[in-house]
Amino acid sequence: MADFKRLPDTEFELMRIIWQHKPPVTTARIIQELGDSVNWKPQTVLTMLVRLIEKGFLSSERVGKERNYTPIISESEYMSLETGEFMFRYRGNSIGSLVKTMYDGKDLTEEELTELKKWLKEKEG
Amino acid sequence: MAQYMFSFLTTSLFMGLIILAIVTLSVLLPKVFSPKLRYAAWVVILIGLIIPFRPMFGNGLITFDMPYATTAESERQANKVGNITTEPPIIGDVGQSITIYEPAVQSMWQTLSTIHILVIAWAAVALAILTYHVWRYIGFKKLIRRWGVAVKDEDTLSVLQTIQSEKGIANKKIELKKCDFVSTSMIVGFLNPIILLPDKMFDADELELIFRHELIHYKRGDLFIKLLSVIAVSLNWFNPAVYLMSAAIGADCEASCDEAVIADVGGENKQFYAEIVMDMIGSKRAGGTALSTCFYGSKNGIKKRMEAIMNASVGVKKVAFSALAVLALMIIFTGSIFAFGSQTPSELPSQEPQYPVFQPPLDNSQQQGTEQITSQRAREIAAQFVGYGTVHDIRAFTEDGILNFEVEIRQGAVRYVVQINGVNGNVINLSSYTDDTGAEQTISETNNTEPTPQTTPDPTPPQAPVSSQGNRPANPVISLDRAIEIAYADIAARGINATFRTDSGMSWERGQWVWELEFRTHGERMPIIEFYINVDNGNIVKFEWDD
Repeated sequence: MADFKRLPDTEFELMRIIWQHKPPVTTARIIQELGDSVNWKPQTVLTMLVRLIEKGFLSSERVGKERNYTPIISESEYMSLETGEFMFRYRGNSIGSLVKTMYDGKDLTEEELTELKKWLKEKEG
Repeated sequence: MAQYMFSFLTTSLFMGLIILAIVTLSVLLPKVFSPKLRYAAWVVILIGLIIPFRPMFGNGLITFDMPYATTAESERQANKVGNITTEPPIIGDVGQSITIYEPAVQSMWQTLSTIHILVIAWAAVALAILTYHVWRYIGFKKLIRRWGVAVKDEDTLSVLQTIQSEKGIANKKIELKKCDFVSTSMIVGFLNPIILLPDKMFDADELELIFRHELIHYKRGDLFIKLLSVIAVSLNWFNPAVYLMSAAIGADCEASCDEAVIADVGGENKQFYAEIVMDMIGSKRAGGTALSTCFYGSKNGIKKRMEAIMNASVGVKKVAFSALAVLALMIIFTGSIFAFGSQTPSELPSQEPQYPVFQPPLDNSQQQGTEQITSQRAREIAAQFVGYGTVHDIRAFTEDGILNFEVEIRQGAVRYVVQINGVNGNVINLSSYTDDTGAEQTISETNNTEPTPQTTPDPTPPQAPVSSQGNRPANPVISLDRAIEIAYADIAARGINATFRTDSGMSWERGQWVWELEFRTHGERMPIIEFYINVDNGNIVKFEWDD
């Protein structure tokens, strides 16, 4: 996914529902889950699902009258893509200047961390 | 504009020196300057950087003559070469029928476009930096909204509630979220703070210290100070010292926060707290970026922080308020230390011109040494001198580099023209005219003498002109060509670059026959210079800017 595109909130909402259920998930189930929280027409939901298929997030197959959706990208995969992209875009692990992090330095390698921990133990004596 | 820019630059430079001094001192004498004191000092400095203008007390200890010295100097150079572009007087309407001619600040006009470009470039970069930070912040907030999982665990929430009560913010709603993608705990959000925890297991003791740390940040308003720091860096992006400051603020903020946590929980918990901080360091694969050798925030930095935690004394040292007060005073008085640019050209050190150089007087507000009178004052003087009447016109003209005023006052059919020295307010010349004849009479010529006010209007028409008009001289001593030459010589001596435009022939003005000539200058607004040159002796009767 070299050309990563962050999912818009609407499509993300659908993906979240699909991720939360055991695949495959039917269209009816998705619409039912959305409930009254959003005011989308079934046609809108279907259009968004088609877009998600085109984007490679979902696969679908027709079973009888129903259409079943299966996620291709798992939630954790997508999360690491989105968050990783954000972190990569801004280099380093510095999250931003308007945030107060407990540690705001650079990441260290495992060896460096071990060395530091050893050093701290020695300090304590 | 140039003045503001210069003031901003000197302030930035001065603040840069203070930043370097504080960083140096804190490296050399870490014991004397505790993180808390340094952090307080940074706040004072941030305010000083963001509000760059200082009150002026006295005339300043160190005087820069930069704005005029440079521009006026280059102007003189240009005069020598003879390619100066002279700018016109500013013309503005005051009242209904009165036009006031105010002189322009030539040096400013000349450098205006360059200064404009610089200011625009500065503002564009500042805005870009600020936008970048805000953009990034919004992006991060979106990530939290999407991926942050609200903590529902009762035990964890009760630890937070306990510390909140202890800190006196029991009723403040502070969200607590767990985020997979962060390696350190943090606090985000200016109005609705959210504490983020990395996806690690913490026991109640660890959580207590983490919440203490984050709530101390919240209570001290550290996020707002960070915002100030971002604004200061954006505004002073051209100043390398602010980047050092920004890094130092981050480090000192954390260090002073660590200090406060240790003060809260007692010295016996230092080691435990240091380990928690160390747990927050993200791990990366070996051979990553080689940027980990900066002074702050690297392995070196974390070691320093650990050492500071381990060495923290439980009784917090009293912040040396006197030191801070001295710093604040220093910053406030910057304006008085560095005074600049308020001299008039006559005060400028270089007095090299051998010939009269045309120097349009500076804007009234900037005249301090020679106390240029205002056009309003000139009107008052003229009105007082004539006695009564309506001021119809006031114009400024320059003579020997001094701005003078010519005020026209009407008393019925009689018109008085009062010339007033723009510096001392003396009446130089008073002429009266009647509209029907156009005849003129010089009533008095005064210099440093008490004016004799005419309190009653002359009911009879003015007397006949002193010199009779006679017939237009057929063969004037001074030919038109000669008059143009004289005018050109005068223009060159004044350092103006202008070209002869037209002549209106010979006319009877001010009781003498003159050649009326017009020259066009090559400034941006191309004002016109009017000459009256006596046809008999070649004297310049009038030199006047006109638009």
